[in-house]
Amino acid sequence: MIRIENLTYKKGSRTILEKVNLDIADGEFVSLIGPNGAGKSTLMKIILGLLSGYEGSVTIDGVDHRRWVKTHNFGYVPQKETFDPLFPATVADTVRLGLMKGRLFPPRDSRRRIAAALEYVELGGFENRFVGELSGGEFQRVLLARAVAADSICFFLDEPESNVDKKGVSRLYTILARLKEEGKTIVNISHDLQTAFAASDTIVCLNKTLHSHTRPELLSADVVTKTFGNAIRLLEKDHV
Amino acid sequence: MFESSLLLTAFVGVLLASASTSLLSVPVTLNKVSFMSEAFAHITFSGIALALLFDWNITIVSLGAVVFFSLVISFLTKNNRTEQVNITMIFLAVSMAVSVILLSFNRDYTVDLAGYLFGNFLFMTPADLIALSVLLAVNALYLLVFYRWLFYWSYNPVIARVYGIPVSFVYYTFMVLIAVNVVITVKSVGVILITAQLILPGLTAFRLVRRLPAATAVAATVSLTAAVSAFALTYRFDLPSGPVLVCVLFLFFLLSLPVRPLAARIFRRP
Repeated sequence: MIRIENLTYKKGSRTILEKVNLDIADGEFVSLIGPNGAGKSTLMKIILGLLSGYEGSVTIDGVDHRRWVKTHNFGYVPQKETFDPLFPATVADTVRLGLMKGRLFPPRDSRRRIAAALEYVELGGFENRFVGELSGGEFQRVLLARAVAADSICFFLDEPESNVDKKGVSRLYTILARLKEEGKTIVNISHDLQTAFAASDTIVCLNKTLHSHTRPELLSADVVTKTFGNAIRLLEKDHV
Repeated sequence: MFESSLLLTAFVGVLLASASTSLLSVPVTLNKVSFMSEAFAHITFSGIALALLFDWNITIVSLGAVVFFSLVISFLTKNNRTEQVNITMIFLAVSMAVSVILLSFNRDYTVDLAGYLFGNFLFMTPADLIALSVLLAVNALYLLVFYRWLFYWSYNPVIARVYGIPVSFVYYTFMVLIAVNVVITVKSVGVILITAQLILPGLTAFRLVRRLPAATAVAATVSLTAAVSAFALTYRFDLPSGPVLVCVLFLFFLLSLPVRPLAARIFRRP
């Protein structure tokens, strides 16, 4: 279980997160929604130990999250994984990173595990393709394969729909649904409300403070509007 | 050609120096840190000037100075690419200024300063050959052991950190390794031209191949071929060795430019 207690994070004089309390259960598929600048990515980066200088506490399975991330396998699909498109990394190189934790050399069965992870995300045979030549959707699935290869128990995804077409988004969420069925915990930041509502067990509405953490069907339009301010116009439920 | 042991020492020395720098050429090119090597080269010159002023051992003083300042620069610039360029350039300019001031205190040097600035194969001594051999072994061992870490740090340091790669260790050790290479190989092409020797083999290799092991092999081949060619040209036409080596490396780079477009044209599917 991921437990966040009284988390406050400031950048200079600006408060990004304020007294956030949140529990994410094992095997839960939770989507974080909120407007740009709401602190969703910041929250995820804090959980992953990429940001320090916050107040409050973050524990995973009862252990301080910074210690947990060093000793456990988890997957991270960032909003925008920046790299030089001409960088000579193949798909296999990218997925292999998931197997490198605490190692100088990849494990002996890395080739088999990479192939299996790519099969899992429906990219079998892509091993020798250069990542700079992939489409947005294919690249996101490669990043997911990296997390799958690591045998992650927790998946953190920061707007995985970015730069992916509708068909690609659908394939991505099908894979995420399969991971959820296998008992994996999925923490997903999304701007695609329709897809996130359909796929998630719970929705977290965040805009500096936590507005709601509930099942999608119980989430009221008032809370969503309050979270997004005037930046969103809710349509009839059937059309959302 | 090798009627004297001086020439043989010079020849072996330039081969060892070229082999050493060529091994780092690919990661330096990938990480776009050639400006760091430029700064390290200028700091090396400050060390040389300081050693000359007090009649100290040039290699030890410049090695101490460059390792210390490479760690300082690396620490100050670790998390900010813009700062990295600016701070490095400041160190580059200031170290050159300090060198000139130090050199102005004593104008009666018996050492050929131009040799340190632009390189001179004939400066190589048997002690240099030992140092260069150790350097080549260290470079090879470093790449062999830390190849994957270096690769993922170059690819994306943030993601590498998330997946457990000790990026700080890779960053500092790689910077120190570049700095040490600059000092030990300085007699090959000098502090002004050392960056060219560090990046041209890698750049040429990436024009010909894309995969890293192949690129490293091509970079080493290009570097060694250029060294042999430069040595022959220097000997035959009595030319300055360091600049000749850089020009030969640049010529190889120019020759590599049309290879990929030509290959794409030839092997294009109908």
